Amino acid sequence: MHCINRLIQVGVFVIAWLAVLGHAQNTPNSHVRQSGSAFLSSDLLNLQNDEFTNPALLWVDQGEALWFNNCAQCHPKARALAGAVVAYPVWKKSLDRASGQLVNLEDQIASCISRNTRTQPNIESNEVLSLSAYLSSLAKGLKVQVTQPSETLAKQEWQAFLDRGAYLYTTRIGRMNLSCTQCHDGKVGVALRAELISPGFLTGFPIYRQSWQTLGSTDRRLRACYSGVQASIPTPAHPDLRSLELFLKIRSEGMTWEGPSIRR
Amino acid sequence: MATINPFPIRIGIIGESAPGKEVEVRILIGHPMETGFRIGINGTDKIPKNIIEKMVVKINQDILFMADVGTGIAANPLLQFFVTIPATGGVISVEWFDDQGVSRKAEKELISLRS
Amino acid sequence: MKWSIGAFSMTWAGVLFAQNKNDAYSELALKSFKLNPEGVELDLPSLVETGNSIPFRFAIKAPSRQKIQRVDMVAPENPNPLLMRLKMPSQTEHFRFATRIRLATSQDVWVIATLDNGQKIGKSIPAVITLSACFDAS
Repeated sequence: MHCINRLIQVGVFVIAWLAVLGHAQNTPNSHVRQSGSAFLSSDLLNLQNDEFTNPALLWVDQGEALWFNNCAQCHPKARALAGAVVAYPVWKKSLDRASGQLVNLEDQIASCISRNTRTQPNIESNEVLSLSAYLSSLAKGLKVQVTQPSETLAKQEWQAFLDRGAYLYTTRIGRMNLSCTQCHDGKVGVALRAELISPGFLTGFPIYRQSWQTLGSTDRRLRACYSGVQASIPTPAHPDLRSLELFLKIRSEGMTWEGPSIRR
Repeated sequence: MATINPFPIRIGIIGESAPGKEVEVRILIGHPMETGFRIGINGTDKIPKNIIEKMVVKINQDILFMADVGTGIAANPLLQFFVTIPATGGVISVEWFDDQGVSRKAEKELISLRS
Repeated sequence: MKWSIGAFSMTWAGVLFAQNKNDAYSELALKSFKLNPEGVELDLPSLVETGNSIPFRFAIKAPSRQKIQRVDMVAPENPNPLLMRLKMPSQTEHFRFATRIRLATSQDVWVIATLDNGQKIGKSIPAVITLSACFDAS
């Protein structure tokens, strides 16, 4: 019995991994993959598409102002960095350690801010989120294309992060004993209360989530997933969250970026 | 480093902006509108109340309406209404006051200079 | 000046919103007003997936020769039933307005307009909420 469970676990892992490999080799599958926007009610979709009432745009405005007053001194054209939105998270060598870590867009923005001021902004601060939202709005229409490191050792470490992400995605956790794939592959389109389960692609972050009543990053959303299955929540910027983000971004490769979005 | 504005306001005018015409005004106010009922991430403490209590919308110096607002209005409040542009044009302005003693004001020309 | 406005509005709002749920804005009281619904149009989604932010729209046309002095938006089952009170000094015959409201639970939402002769017109519209806005911060 235990053997069969193990076999099923490995089988699911392999299937998820094959799906990942398929995307990495550009097998066309985009007609099947839908962004979370396709699962919104018409009210929320109208809100997202209306430039006068979409609350995410309050952050985009702020981001634009912050950019021109600060970032533009080194990065005169914000649009040139829009590609980062669809390419991150990236592997970066740590200054103090021999090995590397995965860095997402909010981590990178917070790091730039701390290098140029003497502050340590939180990745969920309005400052960081505004800049992330601004870049995200400029990346609208770009296709998700994750950057892989070229140097061998770095590539191996990157691969280990990705493997970890695939493992986390297919492993049951929490009091509800659910893995991501059970709902986000197995129950797509099925109703959970009045919500429809989406397949969980990363195409429109940061998100203005109605239940948060504010804008939040991918990191925050993934942490909310853990609480959703009543598992202990990783701390913000935990490496597991970055691994998951990398896996989900790879899974979303080829999909069109939608800019900051509204979610329930 | 320039600091972020914690309370941005966006005013949109929709429709033909000419004297005598009726246009739709959409005002989006950045404010957390914290009710004081929500429990924070630690599971026990309530997030402190921080709510807009009063808003005043004017065309030039004339008050169009005053709103007493409470916890029943969603975060980042939205106001959508119609105004008839005065013959001499003018500005639409919104000013809000919250229970922490903070207030902000924003205005926008009703007749856009760009065609 | 700002301080006095702040203090004034805090006192005013404190009086207004400290109301017990079971008084002037209870469902029973609202129904007892026997409001004339003519001239009042409301728009609210009937099934709401999140009580945190619900688009709400209304249009009021005062009966002939009357003007609208004040409009109250009321949700009797909310902890603070009076959602918003709009006061129009330059009294108007027509008023169209939209905003986003929070609802704690499934209930009727009421719009009550007070006219310049003291008469009240208004009506209600029901909404079913599947997730409460007011008490969950996860």
